[in-house]
Amino acid sequence: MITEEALQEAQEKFKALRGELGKVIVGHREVIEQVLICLLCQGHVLLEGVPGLGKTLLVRTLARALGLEFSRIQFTPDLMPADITGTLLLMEDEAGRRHFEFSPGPIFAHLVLADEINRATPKTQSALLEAMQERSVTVGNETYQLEEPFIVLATENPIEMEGTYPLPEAQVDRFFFKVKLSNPGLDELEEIIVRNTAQAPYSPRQVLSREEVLAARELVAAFPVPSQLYRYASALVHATHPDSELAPTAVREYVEYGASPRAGLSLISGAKAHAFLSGEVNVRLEDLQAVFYPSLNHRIILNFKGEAAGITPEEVLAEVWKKVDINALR
Amino acid sequence: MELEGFQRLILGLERRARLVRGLERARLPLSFALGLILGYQLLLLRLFGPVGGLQLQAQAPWLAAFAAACGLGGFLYGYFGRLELAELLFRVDRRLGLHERLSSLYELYRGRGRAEFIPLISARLPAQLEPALARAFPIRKRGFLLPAGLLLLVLFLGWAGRPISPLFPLAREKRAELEPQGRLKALEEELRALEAELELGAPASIRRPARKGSLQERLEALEEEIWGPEAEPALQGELAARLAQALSARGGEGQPAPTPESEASWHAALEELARLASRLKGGALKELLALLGRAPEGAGAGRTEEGLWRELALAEALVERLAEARRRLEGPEQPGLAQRAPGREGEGQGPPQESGLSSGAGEGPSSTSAEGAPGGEEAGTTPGEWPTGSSASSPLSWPAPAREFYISGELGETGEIERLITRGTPFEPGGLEEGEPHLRLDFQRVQAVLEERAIPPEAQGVVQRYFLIITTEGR
Repeated sequence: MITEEALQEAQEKFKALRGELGKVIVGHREVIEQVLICLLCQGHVLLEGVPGLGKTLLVRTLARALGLEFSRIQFTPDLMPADITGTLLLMEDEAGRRHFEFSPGPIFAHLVLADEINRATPKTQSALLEAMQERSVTVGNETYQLEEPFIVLATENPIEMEGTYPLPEAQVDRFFFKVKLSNPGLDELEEIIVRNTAQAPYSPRQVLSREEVLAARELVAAFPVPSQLYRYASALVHATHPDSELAPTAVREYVEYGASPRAGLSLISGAKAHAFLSGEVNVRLEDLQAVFYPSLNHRIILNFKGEAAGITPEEVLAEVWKKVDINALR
Repeated sequence: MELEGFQRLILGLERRARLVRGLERARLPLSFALGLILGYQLLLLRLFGPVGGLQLQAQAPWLAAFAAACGLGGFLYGYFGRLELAELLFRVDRRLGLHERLSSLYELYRGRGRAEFIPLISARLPAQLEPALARAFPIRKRGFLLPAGLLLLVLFLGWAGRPISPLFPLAREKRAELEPQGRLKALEEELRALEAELELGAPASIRRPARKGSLQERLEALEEEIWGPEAEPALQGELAARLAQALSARGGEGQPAPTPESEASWHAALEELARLASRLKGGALKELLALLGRAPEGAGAGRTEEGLWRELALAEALVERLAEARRRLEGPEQPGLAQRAPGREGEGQGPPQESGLSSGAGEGPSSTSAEGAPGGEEAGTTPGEWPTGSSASSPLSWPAPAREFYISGELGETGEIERLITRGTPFEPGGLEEGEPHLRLDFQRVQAVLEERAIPPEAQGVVQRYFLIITTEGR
C-alpha cells in the first residue's frame, strides 16, 4: 500500500543519502543523482571520465551509505572471466574426499565497480555483461543468482585508448546510463584539496538499508506517467534514427544507427526515478528532459562523417530535443 | 479529487477548450473571407467607380452572409473536431504549471497505474482549479485584430463606396445626371422655377382661365403626346415643322406688327396644326392650339399677349428639353428627334424671341436663341457652330447642321453603326466601295456622346477631328 507517509519517508531518506554522498564527493551532483536513478531503476552505469575524478570514491561511498556489499574489479587485458564470476575449486573435506566448490567472484556484490572495463578482452567483458543482463552467473552446470540490488558501475578512460578493447555497441546498449564526469571547477577543486589534506576524511554513515532500496524501487516503478510522455519518449527515440520522419538534419547527416528500444525504457524509468528524487508523485516533462542525455548519448552511433566532423552525440541529441515538439504529437 | 469532481472538471475544461478552439479556427476563414470581400470591393470600385458602389450595396447581404458562413464553418469545425482528453489535460498541466498532475490523474482514473497514487496526486492539486482553467485556455484577443481590422476596412469601403460619398466627389454631379432619379429631380426643379416665373409674370386673365392643371402637368402631357412612345414618328417631324412655322408667322414680342400675309400664314399653320392634332391621341396640343387661336381675338391687332407667348415659348423650350433628356437616357435617338432639329432649323427661324426667358430658362436651347436675333441665324451662334444649348458650353465647333455629312458604313438593326469604313481601309471584295458614303453623321449626337462620356476637352478635339475626317467633307 502506497501512502503519503511512506512515499515522503522514502523520498526523505534518499534526500539524506544524497546529502551523505555530498559530504564525501565534492560537486558531481548530477552524477550522484544519475547513479541513484540507476540504483532505483535496476540499471547499470557507464562512467566516463579521466582518472582521479572520484569514480571509485563515489561507488564506495554509495555502498557504505546504503549498507551494501561493494566490490571492485580492475580490468586488465589478462583478466579472465572466472576472475569476475568466480570459479570451481577442487576442495578436500576432512574425510579426504575431493569435490568442486564454487568460489564466488567479485561480481557477487551489490555494487560492483568495473574499473577501466575497456582494458579487458571482449571475452571477459562478455562475462560481466552477461551477469549484468541476466543478473545471474552460470559456472559449470550451476546458475547462481545475483542478489538484488545489483548494479555495475563501469568506468572508461576516454583519453587512453591504446591497448584497450572498446565495448561492442550491443554491450554498451545494456548500460542504463552513460554518465560523463567532468573536471571539477576551481572552488570544487579547492574543496577537494581541503577535505583530503586539512582534515580527516569523512566516513559516511549508512542512511538506507537494502530493503528500503528495494521498496523504493517498487515505489518508483509504480509512478504514474501521462500518456503524452510515453508518446514523447517514443518520438524522441524514434527521431534518433536517420530514416525517421521526425529526425532532424543532424541525425540524418551524422548518425549511422539510432537508439534502441532500451533507450525508451531508460527514458521512462529514469524519468520516474528522477520524479521520485525530486519529491514528486508523478512523472513530468522536466523529469524526461533530465534523463534524456544520459539515457541516449551512448546509444547513438555516429557515421564516418559525424566522427570526421567531430560531432558529439550530445550535439545530435540537442537537435533531436529541439526538433521533436511534444505539442505537435498526436 | 473524487472521480465525480474530476469528471466535472474535465467536462468544463473540454467545453472551454472547444470554445477557444472554435474561435481560433473561425479566425482564419473569417479573415480569408473578409480579405476576399475587401479585394472584391476594391476591384469593383476601381473598375466601376460609383456603379461598383451601387453593386456592393446590392450585394452587401450576400457578402455578409459569405463572411459569416466562413467564420461559422471554422468555428463549428473547431468546436466539434476531435479532442484528445489526455492531450488537453497535458496542455493544461503545462500552462498552469500543474506538473502533469491532471494528466497523470487522468491515466490513473483510466486504470493505467496504481490507484493508490490518486489521493497523493489529488492532494497536490490546487483546491480551486476551475477558475484557473480560463487561464489555461484564454481567448487570445490579439488574434482577432486581423479580422477586426479587415472588417473595419470592409465596412469603411462599404460606406465610402456608396454612390453619394466623399470617395467620389468628382463623380457626384455626373452620377446625379446619369441616374434617372437625379435627372428627373433636376428637371422637376427646373420646371418648378419656370412655373414660378410664369405665375409671377403672366396676367391673371391669362393665367387662370387658361389653366386646367399646373403648367408642368400640361407640358408633360404635351410632351407625352408628341414625343411619347405612342406617337407616330412621321407625325413628330411634321408637327415640329408646323409649330415652328406658326411661331415664325406670328412673330414675337418686339416684332413688327403682323401683316395680312403673316396673319394668313399664321392661321394656315394653325389649321394645319389642328389637322395634325386631330391625328394625335391626346388633347394637349388641341388645347394649346385653342389657346393660340383665341389670343388674337382677345388682343389688339399686332399685339402679342405677353403671358401667352411666354407660356408658348416655355412650352417649346420644355418640350425640347424633356425630349433631350429622354434622348440622353434612352441612348439611341428617336426618329422624330432626329428630324425635328434640322426641320426647325431648316426654316431659318428660331422660336419666338422672349428676352425675359433668358434668366429663367438659363441654359436651354430657347434661351440661347432668345438673345435677340430675329430669325435667320440664331443668337449666340456663328456660322459653323452647332446651334444647341450644349454646344454653347463646348469648346468644340462643329459644322453647321444645315449641311449634311455622310460616311461609309453599315447600320445595324438598332440604328447604331455596325461597320464603319474609313478612308484608306482595305475593303472586302463585294462589300461597300469607297466613295459611297451613305450614312448621315449627326454631330449633335456626337456632341451628346462626348458629354455623356465625360471626355476631357483636350481629347474632344481629337474626336472631333476624327469625325470630320471620316465624313465626305474630310476628303
